[in-house]
Amino acid sequence: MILSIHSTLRKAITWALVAALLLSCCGGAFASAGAEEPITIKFWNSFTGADGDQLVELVDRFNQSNAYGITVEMDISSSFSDQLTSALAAGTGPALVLMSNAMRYQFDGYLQDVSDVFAKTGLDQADFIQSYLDYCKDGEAMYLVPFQIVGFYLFWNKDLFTAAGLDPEKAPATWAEYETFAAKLTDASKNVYGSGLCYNYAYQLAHVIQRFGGLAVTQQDGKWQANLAGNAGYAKFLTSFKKMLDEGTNPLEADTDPMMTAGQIAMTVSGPWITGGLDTAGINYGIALLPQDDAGVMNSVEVLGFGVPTVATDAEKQAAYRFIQWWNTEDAQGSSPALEWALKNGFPAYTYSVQAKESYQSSEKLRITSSADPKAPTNFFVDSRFPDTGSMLMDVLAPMVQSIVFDNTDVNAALEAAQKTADGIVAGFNQ
Amino acid sequence: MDRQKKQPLWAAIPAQALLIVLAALVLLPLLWLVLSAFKPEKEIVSWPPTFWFRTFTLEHFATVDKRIDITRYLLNSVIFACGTTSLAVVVNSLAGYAYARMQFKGKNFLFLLTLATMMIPFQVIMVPSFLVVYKMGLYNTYLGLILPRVAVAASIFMMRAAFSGIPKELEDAARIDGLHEFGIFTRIMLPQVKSTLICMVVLSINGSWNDLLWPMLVATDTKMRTLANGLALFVGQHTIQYGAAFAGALISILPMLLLYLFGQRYFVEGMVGSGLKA
Amino acid sequence: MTPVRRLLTYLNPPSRSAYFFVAPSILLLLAFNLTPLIASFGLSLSSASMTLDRISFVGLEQFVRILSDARFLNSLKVTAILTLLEVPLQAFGAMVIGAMVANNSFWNKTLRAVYFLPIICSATVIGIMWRMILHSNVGFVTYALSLMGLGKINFLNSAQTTIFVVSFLSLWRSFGVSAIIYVTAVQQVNPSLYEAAQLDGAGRIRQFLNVTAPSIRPTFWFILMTRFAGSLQIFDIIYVTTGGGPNFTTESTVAYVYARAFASGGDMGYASAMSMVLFAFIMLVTVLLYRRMIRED
Repeated sequence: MILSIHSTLRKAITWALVAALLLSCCGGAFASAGAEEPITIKFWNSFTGADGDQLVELVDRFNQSNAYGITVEMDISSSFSDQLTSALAAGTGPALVLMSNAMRYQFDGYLQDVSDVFAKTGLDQADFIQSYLDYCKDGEAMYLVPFQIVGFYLFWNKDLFTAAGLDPEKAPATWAEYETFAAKLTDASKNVYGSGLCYNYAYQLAHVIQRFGGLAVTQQDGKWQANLAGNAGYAKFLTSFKKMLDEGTNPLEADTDPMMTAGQIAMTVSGPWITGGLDTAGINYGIALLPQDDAGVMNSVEVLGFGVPTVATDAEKQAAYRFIQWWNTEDAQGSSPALEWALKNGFPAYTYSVQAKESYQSSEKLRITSSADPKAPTNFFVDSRFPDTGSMLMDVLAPMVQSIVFDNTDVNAALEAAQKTADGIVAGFNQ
Repeated sequence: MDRQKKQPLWAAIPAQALLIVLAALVLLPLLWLVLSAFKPEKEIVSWPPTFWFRTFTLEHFATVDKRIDITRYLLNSVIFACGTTSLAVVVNSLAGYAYARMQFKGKNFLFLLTLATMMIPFQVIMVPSFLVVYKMGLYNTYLGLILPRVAVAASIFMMRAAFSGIPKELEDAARIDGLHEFGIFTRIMLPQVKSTLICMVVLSINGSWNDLLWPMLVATDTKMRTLANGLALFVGQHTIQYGAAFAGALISILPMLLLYLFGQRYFVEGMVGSGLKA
Repeated sequence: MTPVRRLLTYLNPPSRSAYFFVAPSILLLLAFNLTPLIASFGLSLSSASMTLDRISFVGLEQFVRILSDARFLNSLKVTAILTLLEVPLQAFGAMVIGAMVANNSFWNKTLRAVYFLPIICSATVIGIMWRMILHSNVGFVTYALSLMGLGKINFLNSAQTTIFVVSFLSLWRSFGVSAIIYVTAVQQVNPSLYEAAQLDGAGRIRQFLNVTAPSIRPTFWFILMTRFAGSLQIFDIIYVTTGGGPNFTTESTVAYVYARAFASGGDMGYASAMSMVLFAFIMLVTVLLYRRMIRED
């Protein structure tokens, strides 16, 4: 052979090819692993962080204990959405996912109707709190089975309250009071702020602003309409938020959680997940429902639910149902994964039976997060039937607040600009 | 070899001062990260913040160990990084050499075509790329992870730059000796660019090591997760486990650091033993 | 000669064998990069969801939309600022530093190892580390500044300064690599050139300007062009630190493209059209630079 390849390089190339071949074989083997089980379903979600630990534990328990030979292969991913998108585009993907109703529209057309879950599993539909089920519905079809009810609450640092001469056991009952407290609690010399609202945390701001001015999208005569321009309640909140920033009672800060943990913020609005960090840091804190304002009593929540993507076969869907059934079924001791999950994470339960449990009742955290008026509307920022909550939060609310904070845009002008954007989004659903 | 005259002090001091300031800018934050990995969570987020730890703890390493299968993930990272790099070295240096030293029809076109591939944001071609890999049956295989990452325009470009710098006489001498083109490439040219080659190896390994999104998409099987992906698990949607994330970072940095220190032995002065009569 | 030998001899001249040298890379790029690139060009002329279904041809409609999109124009401005802040430092600054630490003394090797460190951190790590260090209320830098009696600087929440912080972090991550690449180039410079310069009595600065800089020109072009392309596509540093905020002052074009492509249902057609505009910009810069480079070769 005339091309006498340099021996080192030849070896290198050979090795590379051998390696590549071997690897592709290994890959094939991994892909087909677990075939001896009757059925294996993939379960994707984005529960990174500490609560993921518990989810892993519970899924393991299901895999070991279920009588159907079902193996749930869970993948917690920090890129859940990108991962699901590309898989669905290729016509593959998991049989079970966890997603928020606010995200549902993103995967419009890729979720199966799961309204037969009750008939197929014997779970009692009447046990599920109706308003949460409504979130998961689009007309008659149901796309998610409730998994976690995410509400935002008021958290306050009792020690800072005491230091400022306020009653450490009494949270502000109205937003006017919240503002007054914030001013009293602020101590610039100690780098302590009374209020900790984030200018770019759309979810947090949405829970607050709707207490002032109601829902951003509602239905009128069968048509969706946006309610931003001229919304006096929204204007009131925005003016007040801007004032707190200008007076220095609320920091101009995108990342307030570490400040709460470090004891530099006296009051903040957040979800139950914040308690993990606060407990670790030894902060002496209280939890209360969000103060109400002009818009009347409401209990805004976002519902995270189990979804079954369209790529799942009937057998996989049935296996997914079995898992959902197991999640909501009591064992001999009267405990269920759903109950354990609530106890551990502090999210209110979505069934009456779990809420009635003694262990649930005796949890201080759960007692408060579940104490909202059961008749209060649970819509989060928009009418819960409106499909695209995400755009309203990210493309309407967040830019509006930031233009007021950073460009000193007049509040009413900002609301009008937001109305224009919102009209565009809403129009897409009125055709 | 000594290529410089003794520098006057007035020039050396500001120059070294600049180098030291740059080093400090790199080191101090990383030192803070390393120290923080040994602080309790409560101390990492505190006011006033600490630099040196007040309390020493190894709990975060235990957390990382409990939560992710470090050896498995490490193995996957090694397979991904080594598989990609071993192929990349061959493919990219071959191409870089041709663009640098060979005349052929369509050279400029092909080179610009190659460069064009680094001008489109990955986020946009992400889904189409995934579809290609999927249609080739490479979903959830190591090959699917590796192949798309082998040919890299920037690496080809870097090799091209390195090969361009070699004097023409070397090549001509080899040709007179009757070496064929491939022989010139492997025997004469490759040894000349050893530093750049090592540099490419290090960068390629490192690129795969830290790649987050692509392995996530192509290898959704948890058994195929890489270390970088594993560590992302400590950064939740709402909460960050700072200590665990830093401990994990430390674990993932170490192999790379060793590789670099080891590789640096090979960052030798270029022309040594090249046979070029200066 | 056997036919095989004759074939090999026929293929041996560079004008023919070159194709074998470039074929593997071209084939791989064709499959995994160019095909998706062409696909995304096709998408820019259509309307599609993020999962690439519901595709319908809309002609140039997406490009017309771009013209009146203030957020896109803002993102171009942000990208341009970040590029202008970063590229000169990467191309020239790293060259000087690279040349300064090119000799293989123990001290220089140590410095090189230090400069290389940031690139071995993943973006996730860089993000949480710097967000904590530069936190304007509980960050270590903030604390250090207050100890020195200096005021607070709101590094990550200021419409004016945050863009500089993003630029600094992007430099922090990759400056070392540029410097190391220059080091390898400097080490491959023919030592006889330095000897000649020294005989002429050239000092270090003269040696750098007259010998080093001209000799490593191919590497300079490499750094310049790749950093241009990289900077114009800056994304993950932004994604893990500011998320494009505050008030979009650090939202680069790719960050905006990502938001449009995947937020709420995805607007892949529009995202692709924006990418094509960006692609055209990068390609233009690259071709101009490439022509200069070829002329200099």
